Amino acid sequence: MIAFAAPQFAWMLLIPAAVVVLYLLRRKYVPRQVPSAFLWQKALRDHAANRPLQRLRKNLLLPVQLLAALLLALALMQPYIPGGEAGRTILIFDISGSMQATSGGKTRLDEAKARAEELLRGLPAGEEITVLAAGEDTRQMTLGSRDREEVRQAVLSLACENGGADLERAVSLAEAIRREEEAGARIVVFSDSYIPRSAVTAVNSGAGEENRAVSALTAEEGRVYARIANYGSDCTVTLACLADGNLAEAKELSIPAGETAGVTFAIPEGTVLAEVEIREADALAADNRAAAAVIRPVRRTVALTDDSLFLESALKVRQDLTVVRTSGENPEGTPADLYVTGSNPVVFTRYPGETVFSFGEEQEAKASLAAENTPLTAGLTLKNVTLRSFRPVAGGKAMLRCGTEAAAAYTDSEVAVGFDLHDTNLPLKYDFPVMIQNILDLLIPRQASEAPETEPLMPARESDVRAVAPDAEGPGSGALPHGGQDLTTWFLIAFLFLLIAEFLLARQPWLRAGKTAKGGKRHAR
Amino acid sequence: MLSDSFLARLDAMRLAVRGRAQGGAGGSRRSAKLGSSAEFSDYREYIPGDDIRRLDWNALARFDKLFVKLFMEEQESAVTILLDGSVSMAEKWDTARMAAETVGYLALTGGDRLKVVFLQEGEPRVSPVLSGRPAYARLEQFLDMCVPAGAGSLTENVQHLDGLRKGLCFLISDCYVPEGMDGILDFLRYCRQETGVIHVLSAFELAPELDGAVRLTDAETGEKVDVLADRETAEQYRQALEAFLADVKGSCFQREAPYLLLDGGKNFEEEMIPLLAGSGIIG
Repeated sequence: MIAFAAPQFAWMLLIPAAVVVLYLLRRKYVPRQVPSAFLWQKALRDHAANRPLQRLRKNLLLPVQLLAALLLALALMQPYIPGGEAGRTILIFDISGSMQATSGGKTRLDEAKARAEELLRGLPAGEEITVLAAGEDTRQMTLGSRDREEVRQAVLSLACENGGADLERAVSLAEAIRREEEAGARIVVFSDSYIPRSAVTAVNSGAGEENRAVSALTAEEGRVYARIANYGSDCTVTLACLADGNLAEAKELSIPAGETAGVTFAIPEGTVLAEVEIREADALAADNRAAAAVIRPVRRTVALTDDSLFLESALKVRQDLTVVRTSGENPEGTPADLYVTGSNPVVFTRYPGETVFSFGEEQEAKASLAAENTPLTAGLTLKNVTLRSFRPVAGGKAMLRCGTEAAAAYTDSEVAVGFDLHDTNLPLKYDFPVMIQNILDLLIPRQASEAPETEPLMPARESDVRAVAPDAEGPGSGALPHGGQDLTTWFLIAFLFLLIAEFLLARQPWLRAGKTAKGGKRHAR
Repeated sequence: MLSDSFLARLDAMRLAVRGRAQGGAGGSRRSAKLGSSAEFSDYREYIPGDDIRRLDWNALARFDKLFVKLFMEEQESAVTILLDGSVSMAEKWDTARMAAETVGYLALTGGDRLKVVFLQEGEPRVSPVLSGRPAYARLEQFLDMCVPAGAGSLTENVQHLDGLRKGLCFLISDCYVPEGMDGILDFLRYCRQETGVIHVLSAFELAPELDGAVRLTDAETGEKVDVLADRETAEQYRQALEAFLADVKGSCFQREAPYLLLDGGKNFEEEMIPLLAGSGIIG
């Protein structure tokens, strides 16, 4: 009994029928006018060779060509004799978000399960089957199970995740299992992705479909910003924005093929959870809806003891900060999240009066300022920055140096700048606000109010369901491996043999003679 | 259309006539009557009243009797060329026309009265009666006006002819007559015509070279025949052609009508004279 590993090529069996039809229909008669058809009518009156079936009967090449076409079709279906010795098979299922894409009413994962069922039927009894589910993490569903029912249940229980799939890791794991086996094991991956590994049989479970996705969503007080990606042809989508489950606004958005478009919705003040959804159905439903918690920054206060216009302006760049003035003598009297005290040195501290730094005598700056590689100096160039004098800073970790001495240093809770801002042109350079923001990020980082957790957005590579294996012609493409004896090679050899036989036959003079008719003969008079 | 050198070669030939000529005016054909031509026929004894200029003085000296030499009276013959003008002749018209010119030239130089009948659909086109070598130019003018066109049955066209004088008749045609040539030849015989058939076929008709599948369209009837050019078809055509030629030739032989088959694909002037001699049309 012969079974076929690639029955989806069964339609190729129509080729022999097509050959017959071509034989019947291929006659394209070349028109030619003759003085009289009298003799031809007389000649052909009883000549049945122009009848289609007679023509077939008389053509010796036809049976050869029919047989060759049949063998080719069967070879493409990859025939094999089922059975053989039991071995090990590792099935890897891609359960990434794109496997939820539907085509013809079935998801790609459903298609993969159906194909796996087909594969399981062809495997010999006693085969040890391992099932791995490849999502963001790889899960082992069965390990070397001989219980076919257990394997079936494991396969049926697979469900897609909304994230990606680390197939590389899953295949590596499968290969590690295979290496442990002396007899080896075959690895079959059911995925809609391309697996460029020669030792792995990839069974493509899907074809490209059109999909639209919410690719980004940010919600803040009063408004929601969403970005919609179009993984398909030009389209217009209807978008609905929900604020805490109630419809806040609906919009239509036209997106060119393969591009993304942004859209803003207004939501009521006090909304906690904002959602945006695409109303039109597409191949992948999971990415048509996204939710985001509304971000509300917590306001912070910075107390400034000295009057420095540069410093105040740089601090106000952070919109969540309120800058207040306080007495240099008793800064603690003003409640604040950060205190900026003194003018030479300038100390940024969360706890005034408790400093780890000590400052030396003021000395002339003999070298230019240089930045140490610290988080606080990120983005600083200090180009053309000059310094007249400074007080060396001891303690903490140096962030700015003048020669070998530290001109500024920091700890986790305070930053000391050992020079007067009036003795340098640093505040006139763009390095200054950058440095101040770095200091603020260290000492009083931005904080948002408590927000409900939301589902992460589906990765773009998963939403783009068009990005399937290059050889995936349609759902269920890719030949299934089997445990039996493969007959494909024998069929191909027989096909080639017939092809050569047909070629040699066609060159036979006694066949070729029929190609050109030279009727009549020169009559001697 | 015929070259001067070919016409010069024709000058030495005469159309062969089996029967005696019967025409009004004097010509170069031997008539049934004895006359005054230079051609000796017989002797008979002198009877009073005979022209003494015809006495054979040598016989008188030898036998001592008066004998009169009898001479053939030469009269002209009526030569009619029946030229098939159906569209099936178009492909081999040049050959057919040269055959008509050849026969016409032989008739004119032989002192016969020539008439050409162009058999076309409906009324035939008939040339004036031509005689004498200078009329060859008028023969050419007449043939210039003849263009094969239309269909029509050759049998019907011939049988509707009237005013045929007893004489020689040459039918130039491809002889595609489904009912056979017997009817035509019998009719002409009935009209006291000593008929010769010049059968003209094109090279394609004699040896068709077809490749693949061909849809042949009859130029006259528009009928279509799908032909698959294979060995078998070629053999069938060859057999049909041979049967057809044998049929036409047989009809002619049964009626002692000279028959000549012209191949439109060959050089006419090289082929024609041996064919004419072999067929018995010239003598």
